Amino acid sequence: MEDHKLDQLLEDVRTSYRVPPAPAVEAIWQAVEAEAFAPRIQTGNTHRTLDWRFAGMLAAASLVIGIFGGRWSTSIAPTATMAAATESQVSNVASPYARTTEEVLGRSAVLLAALRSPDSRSVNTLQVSDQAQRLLGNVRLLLDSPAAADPQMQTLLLDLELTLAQVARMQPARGETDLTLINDAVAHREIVPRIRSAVVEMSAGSY
Amino acid sequence: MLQVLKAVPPTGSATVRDERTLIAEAAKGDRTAARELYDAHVERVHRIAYRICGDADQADDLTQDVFVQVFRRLDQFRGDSAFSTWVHRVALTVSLNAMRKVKKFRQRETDLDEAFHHEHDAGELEPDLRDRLREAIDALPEGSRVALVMHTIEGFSHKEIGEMLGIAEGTSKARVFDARARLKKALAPHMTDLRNTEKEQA
Repeated sequence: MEDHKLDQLLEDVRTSYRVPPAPAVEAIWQAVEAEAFAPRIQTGNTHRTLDWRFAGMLAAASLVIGIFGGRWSTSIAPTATMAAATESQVSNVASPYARTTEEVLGRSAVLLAALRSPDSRSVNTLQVSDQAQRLLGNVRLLLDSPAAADPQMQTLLLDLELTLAQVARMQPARGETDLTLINDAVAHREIVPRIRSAVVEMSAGSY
Repeated sequence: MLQVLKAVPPTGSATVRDERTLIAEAAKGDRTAARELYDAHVERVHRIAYRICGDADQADDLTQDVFVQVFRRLDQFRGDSAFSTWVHRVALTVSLNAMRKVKKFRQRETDLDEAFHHEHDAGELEPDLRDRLREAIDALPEGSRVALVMHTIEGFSHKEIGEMLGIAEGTSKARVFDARARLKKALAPHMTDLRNTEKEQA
C-alpha cells in the first residue's frame, strides 16, 4: 500500500474513528467537585472518631497472630512441610513479588478490618479512599506480575481490586451507605479470612 | 462539523498568566477557579479518554477521574510544561491504566465474539476498507496506537506526545512510523481485493 493512500484513509478515519460524543460536562463537574473539593469531614458526627493508629494496630496484630499461627502449624509437621515446600518451589513467585504481595495484602487487610470495626461509621472517607486508591494501584500492578500466576492468588487479587475500587470511590455524602455495601461484599467474599490464609500460605512457601 | 472533529488546539482560552492565577487559586481550594480550569480542558480530556477507550460512559468516568487527580495534585504542578500538557498527561495515564485493567476481561469477550463471527461471516461481504482500518488501529500495540491516535487523529505534535507519555520525541515518531507500517501491512490484502473488484467491475 502506498503512503498517500494510507494518508487518505487516515484523513478519513479522523472523522470516523471513535468520534467522541459531547461530554456530560455538568454531571462530571458535580462528581469532580464532590470528590476533589469535599471538606474533610467525618461522616458520622455522633460517633467517636476512629483512632486509625489504634484500629490499624489491632488489625495488624491480628494479622501477625495469623501469620505466626500459620508458621507454627506448618512447623509441627516438618516432613510434610519439606515435601510441600520442594513441590511448591516450582510455582513460587519470585521473592520480591512475594514480599510485595504479602505487604499489600497485609495493608489491605488492615484497611478492610478497620472499615468493619464498630467505630467505622466515623471514618474519614477521603483518607480511607486515598489509602484504598494507593493500594488499588499496587494490586493492579501485582495482577500484571508473576505474583498473580497462581490462580487462587489471582482470584483473591481480583476480588481485592474490586473491593478497593469501591472503597476508593466512597463519597462523604454516601459514607455510611457505601460502607455497609462494601462491608457486606467483603464479608460475602470472605476477603479478610482469605487474605490471612494467603499470607500464612505465603509464609509457608505455598505461593 | 468537520472542524469540530478535526484536530483542534487545547480548548483553554485563558492566557498563561490567567491560567497560573487560576491554578494557584484552585490549589487553595477555590472552586470557581477550578471550574474555569475544568471548562477550559474538559472537552479535550474527554476526547482523549474516548479515543483511548471508545465508550461514552467510560469516557465520562475517566474524565471525572482525571480531574479529581488533577485537582488533588494541583500543588504538584511545577509549571515545567504547559498546564494543558500536564492535564493531558494525566488524562492519558488514567485512560491507559484503566484500559490495561479492562483489557484482560475484554479479551475473553473478544475471543468469544471472534469465534461467533468467524462462524457466521462465511459468504458475507467484506467490511469496507474504513472498517478494516479502524479494526487495524484497534489491533495495534498500545504504544503505537496511542502515538498514532494522538498524532495523526488528535493532531498533537511529537514533542507534545513525548512530554505527555514521558518518552523522547524521536520515540513518538518511531511509534507512529511503526503504526503506519503495521496498518499498511494489515490493509494490503484488502487493497488487493479492492483493486481486483474494481477491475472486475470495469
